[in-house]
Amino acid sequence: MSKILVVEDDAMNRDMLARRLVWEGFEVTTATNGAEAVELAGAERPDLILMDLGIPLLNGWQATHRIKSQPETNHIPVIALTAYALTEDRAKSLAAGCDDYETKPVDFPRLLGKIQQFLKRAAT
Amino acid sequence: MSWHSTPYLGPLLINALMSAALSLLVVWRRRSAPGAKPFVVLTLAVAGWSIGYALEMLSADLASALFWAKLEYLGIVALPLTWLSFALQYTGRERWLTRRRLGLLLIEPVAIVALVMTNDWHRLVWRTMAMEERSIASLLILTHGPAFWIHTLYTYVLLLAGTVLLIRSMLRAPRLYRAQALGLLLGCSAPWLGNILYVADLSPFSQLDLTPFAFAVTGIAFGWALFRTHLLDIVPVARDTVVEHMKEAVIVVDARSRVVDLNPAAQRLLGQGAAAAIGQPAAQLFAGWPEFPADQLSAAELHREFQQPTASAPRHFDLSITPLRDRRGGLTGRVVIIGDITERKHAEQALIQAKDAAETANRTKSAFLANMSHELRTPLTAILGYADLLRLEAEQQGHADLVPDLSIIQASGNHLLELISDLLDLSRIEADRMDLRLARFDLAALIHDCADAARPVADKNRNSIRVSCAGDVGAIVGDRAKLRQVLLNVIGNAAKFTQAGEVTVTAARMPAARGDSVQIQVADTGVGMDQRQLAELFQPFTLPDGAPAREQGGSGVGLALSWRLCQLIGGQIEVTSQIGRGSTFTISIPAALSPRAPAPTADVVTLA
Repeated sequence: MSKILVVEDDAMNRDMLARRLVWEGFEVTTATNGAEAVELAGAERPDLILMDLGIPLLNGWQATHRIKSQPETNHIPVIALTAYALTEDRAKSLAAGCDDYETKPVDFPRLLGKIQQFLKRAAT
Repeated sequence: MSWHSTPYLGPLLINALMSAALSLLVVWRRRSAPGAKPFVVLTLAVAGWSIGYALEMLSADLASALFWAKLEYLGIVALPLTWLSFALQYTGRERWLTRRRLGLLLIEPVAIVALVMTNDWHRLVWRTMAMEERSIASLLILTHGPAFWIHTLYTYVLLLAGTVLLIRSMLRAPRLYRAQALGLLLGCSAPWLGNILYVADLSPFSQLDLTPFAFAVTGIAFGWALFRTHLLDIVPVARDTVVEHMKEAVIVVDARSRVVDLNPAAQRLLGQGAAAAIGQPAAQLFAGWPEFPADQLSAAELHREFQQPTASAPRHFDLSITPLRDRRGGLTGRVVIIGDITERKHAEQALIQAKDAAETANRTKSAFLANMSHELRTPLTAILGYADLLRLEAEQQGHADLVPDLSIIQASGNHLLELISDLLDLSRIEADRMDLRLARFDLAALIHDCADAARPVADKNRNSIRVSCAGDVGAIVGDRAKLRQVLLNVIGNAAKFTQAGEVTVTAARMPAARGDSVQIQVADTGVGMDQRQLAELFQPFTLPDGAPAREQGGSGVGLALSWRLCQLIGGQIEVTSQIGRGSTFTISIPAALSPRAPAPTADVVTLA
């Protein structure tokens, strides 16, 4: 069973994302801020990270940058999730090391498609 | 040649000396002034005449008296013409005196001089000549012949012409030149008086010709005007009542930057009366004006603004200096014009501030909209996410009856999301923050893609969508995502607002001199729109009552956004419509859009 780390500071959205991913058959771990996300990424070694960008302590870009600069976690795909739907944000996320970018509200068919793709790529 | 003394000697010699001195002064100080040359000749002629006359009076015998009397004529004949020429130059009419006219006017004086010299043989000038003993001196007494009267007539005509010219210019000269005009009038009238007294034999000093004295009065009057009121500096004709009533300060300075004239506005501005200011160096007038570019007064030409600090707020002035040149191009002075532009400056500043405020407000609005969009998207994520989750769970747990209601929540949420996205895009376009992403793409494929996206809605309304792209449409260079947004909106609207009809999408290339364009037409057989609806079609949030979009839950933002997006990608949207027949939207875009200068893209939004 693939493990996904959901990083999201909004409790409702965190719960919603976690329940939906569990529904889809994933094992889910959650973090509420950037520092926790970096720690859990190292400790739990998830197969994929869904990273909200507007999170406290370390924001999503900074957290992603940390995860991507540590050898033990840099292989983990990170999909950025943000309610800011500007093209600049997309470019900024990709520059910080995110592997992909999705906006909120979440288009689940599309997000799940992307998750499957990353996991499949990791498996081969 | 024998001599005797005469009491007339003193006045005549003084007269001669004064006239000579005047001419020297003019030569020395005011050579370039209009009328200066004839004035010099005029005063020299008077000096010559006076000296000749003095020597005539000193002569004790007829032969020597006659000799001097004849020499005097060299001065006498020169006077009328130099007088006229002075008047012409002074009043700016020197061009009248052409070489030809000068030659014609010279015939008479030359002939008279010849006749005077040969008078002994024909006596045409003087019929009799005799010495007569008077109580004070022995005088040469002459009776006049026809040539004398001809010359008198000639003299009067020229004198009259010059006098008329001068008086006319005097009448036109405004208040400031009163003193000067008085000097001129005195100068003009003196020769008349003197000559008439002599010719009519009314002189209180019997047989003494007063004309040279009279011309000396003219010289003094003009000389006074010359040095006291700067008669010859600037021709008064240049001055106009317009200047007098101008709101701008006008100061006329001579070639050496001394004030020769200033209008009431200048007097008010400088707080100095004309009498005090005239004659002063201009730089001195502006001694209390630290910001006045006094060093620029001698500039050939100048136009600039300067600020003058005052007790309250600084005042702004507009300064222009224009050189005055005579007909030969020599510099005679400058006109300094100073306008108070404080009000204008304040208005300009107010405009700039208003513009800045408006821009700031616009930026604030954009930032607000971007933040609003974020704030709205977060709860919407939960609403849509939980509705989706509930629907899945309901289906799994056999509560199929709940599914339609949950679908309505989802559909409404999605509609709200679309609206938020459109608003965000609109605000970004208005804030000039929408970047173009140019790429080459297949237009026909894009159109088919957009038509397919509209099919579910079309099917629901029992519409058919037909796409027909000309074979040469091919690939174009543009912003695919933005064109897609426009097409989705326009085709989507057509599918939404037509019932049991047809939506036709056609595309064709339009060759043009300045680069090909592509025309995409979306025609429907829907309800159509009237003029009023068409007029407001592309304005955001202006859905007229009864507009089909209102009944269909449209927001009125979609077309406004499409219109602006289309503009952004170098194209335009036009629409024709007929009530009951349908509408046709025509989108024209360049086949190859060239990248524009990148728009400034600072971060409006910061993430919390």
